Amino acid sequence: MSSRLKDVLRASRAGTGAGGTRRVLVALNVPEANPETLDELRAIGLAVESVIGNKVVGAIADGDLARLRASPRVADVEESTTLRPHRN
Amino acid sequence: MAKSKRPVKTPSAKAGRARSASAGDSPKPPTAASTPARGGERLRSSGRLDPWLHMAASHGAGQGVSIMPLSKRTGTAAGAAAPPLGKTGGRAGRSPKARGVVAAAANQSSAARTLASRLSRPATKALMKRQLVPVLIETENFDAAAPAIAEIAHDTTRVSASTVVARVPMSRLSEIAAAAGVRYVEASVQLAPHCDLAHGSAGLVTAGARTVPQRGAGVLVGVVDTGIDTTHEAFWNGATPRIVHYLDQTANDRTYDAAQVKSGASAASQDTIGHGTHVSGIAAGNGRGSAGSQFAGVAPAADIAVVKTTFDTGDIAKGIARIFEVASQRNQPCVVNLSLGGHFGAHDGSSVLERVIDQQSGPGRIVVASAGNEGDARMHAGTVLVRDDANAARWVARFELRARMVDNQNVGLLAVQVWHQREDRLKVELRSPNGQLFAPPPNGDLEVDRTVFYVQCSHQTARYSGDHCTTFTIVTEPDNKWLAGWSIIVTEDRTVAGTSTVNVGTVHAWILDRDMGGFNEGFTRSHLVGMPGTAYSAITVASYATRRAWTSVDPDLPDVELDAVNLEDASYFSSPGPTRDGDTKPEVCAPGQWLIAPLSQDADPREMPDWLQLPGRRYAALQGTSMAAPYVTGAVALLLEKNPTMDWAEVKRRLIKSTRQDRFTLPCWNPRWGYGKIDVARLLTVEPE
Repeated sequence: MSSRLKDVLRASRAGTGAGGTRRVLVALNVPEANPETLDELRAIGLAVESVIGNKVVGAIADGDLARLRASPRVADVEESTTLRPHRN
Repeated sequence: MAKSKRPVKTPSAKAGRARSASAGDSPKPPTAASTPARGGERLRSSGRLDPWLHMAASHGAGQGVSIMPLSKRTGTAAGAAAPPLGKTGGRAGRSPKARGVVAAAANQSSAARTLASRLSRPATKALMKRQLVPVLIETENFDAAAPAIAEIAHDTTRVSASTVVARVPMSRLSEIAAAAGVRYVEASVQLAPHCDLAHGSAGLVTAGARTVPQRGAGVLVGVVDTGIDTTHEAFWNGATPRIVHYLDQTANDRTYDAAQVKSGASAASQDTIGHGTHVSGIAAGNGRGSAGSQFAGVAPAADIAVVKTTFDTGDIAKGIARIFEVASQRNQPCVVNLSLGGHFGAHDGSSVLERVIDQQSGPGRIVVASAGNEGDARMHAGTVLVRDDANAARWVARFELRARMVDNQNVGLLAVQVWHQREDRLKVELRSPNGQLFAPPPNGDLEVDRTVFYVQCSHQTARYSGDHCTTFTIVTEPDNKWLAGWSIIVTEDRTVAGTSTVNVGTVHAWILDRDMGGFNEGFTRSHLVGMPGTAYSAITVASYATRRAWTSVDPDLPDVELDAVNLEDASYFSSPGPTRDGDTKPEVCAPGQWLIAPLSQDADPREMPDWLQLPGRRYAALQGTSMAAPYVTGAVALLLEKNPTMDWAEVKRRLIKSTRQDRFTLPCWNPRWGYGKIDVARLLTVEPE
């Protein structure tokens, strides 16, 4: 019974975390993302999609998220969420 | 650009409405007797009025719009002849549609009649014969109407299978209206080019002419949205596309440059929602496809870059960066429009997406965001706990879930975030309808699995501010006894008896989406500006009303008129500020209810039902802060044309100094209006201290 509700929640999040991965925005503790920093993040398991100054957009497995948050190179990790148009 | 258009698939009116009503997020179809749940807008259908008569009536005094072009200096009609009043009285023997056209001529503005009275009758007649009136000719059988149109009309452009834009001698209006195959002839506002209602209210157009010389030339207007109809003539200059870059994030980042737009390749990335096309048109459409370019946007000479986004915050961040990158490559100043948002996060501008916006903004790099459409939603509750050593502070916010379909399952699903200051030691708990209390450990998670509900709780200390965020996600069976009766309970977490742990005391709770449910008590009409509208550097825009009537293609509702829209007043849906940390958001209010702008030919009719579409199906009416934001985006493009290195702080200073206050706005800044209504003419001339 209750597992049905849990499954519904999991399914509702599937778009942002299919296959046990989560899309994340990462703020770094450095002014610009340099290759060494990106290599460290990749070693943790972050699949880097895009670098915007000292912010990184990427995807990471659920199990690696805590390590990413704990990295001294990382100031903040935010899971990507879905916004909606502001048409009324 | 003349073009033929695919017929829009239109469900039968009644069936379509039934579906829309149940869909919840589809445009609310107005009915004569019903009141849409959110807006309280009642529509009055006045039957099949002649469009010209209807326009003459709906664009009368008080709207700041005249039917005839007026001379700035004298306030009288400039160079245009008025119809000879004596000729319009006889109706006998004319067809109904011919009667309508001629009668409408008699109802033209008093300014026109004033001019007519000043002219001698022979002179009036001579001018009348020469006067070419811009009209929109709607045919019921184009082939049958074609000979008459060819003989009588000048400068004809076929804008759809059934519609022709042309200029017709005023003396032959009734003749063409009565011609075989012609359904009706529409005119009047065409005599006031660029004079859409929003522009008059916002100081961009006075007496039919733009008040500022800037048109956005040399500026890149960026739009991150649902895409754009790249074939729409409003985004072309003759055979040259104005869209210089189009990125489709929904199709593996497929990219089109201007050459690919010109070749038609970009038409593969359709705007099936129609939102992005409309937004782009408000900011930068040139009005082509509307008679006399009357529905031109604010910056009609700007270049355009569009990102069709997934609306995922990661992709939005990438989209903003891409547009600024394109602007750098083209050595152009740039303003990016974000008519989107959500309520996940701190509501203080500290989300990573918002910090990307801050980082990307700078001289000649501006971001404009919509405030949001939650002004009438019970999504926020809050309090300020009072420090009292004798009695521990306590706050309760009750809420309920709404049953809905999630992954084809009928359930209640709601997420609520509770934020409090780092200076306070508070315990935040969730109480279920059966009285159980749940709370996560500090910086940890808790999962509760029951037969009839499932709850996830988590606590995080925000990295940026050090404030506390507790998130509860609830899934329930769709039974009223489990949907209702939930509470957030906030109490002091005292470690020493008799000593309060309240130092600041501010507590905010947000339900993350209005469709999830709402607070039953303690909800506020404040703090409803979402992310990224709370971004520090972004210019955040609220909405006010400038239109409540238009002519639609819906045969059941040809004359849409929304009684409950209070012109010049704040839109009921516009999200009020401030931010959680007290920043003055929104900054400015702009026309957003209702605006007419380009219609994507690929828009799903469920998104753009007939009652929103204007004759010719090239333009449509929409409302939302989504529509207000691009108005300001266009205005910023005009500023950047004048000063390409202006930064966001300077833009805000000028906005604050130039805004207009009136009996609706009351003293500003206030949460609903920001610093007041945008005044484009003053914005372009004001010099801050």
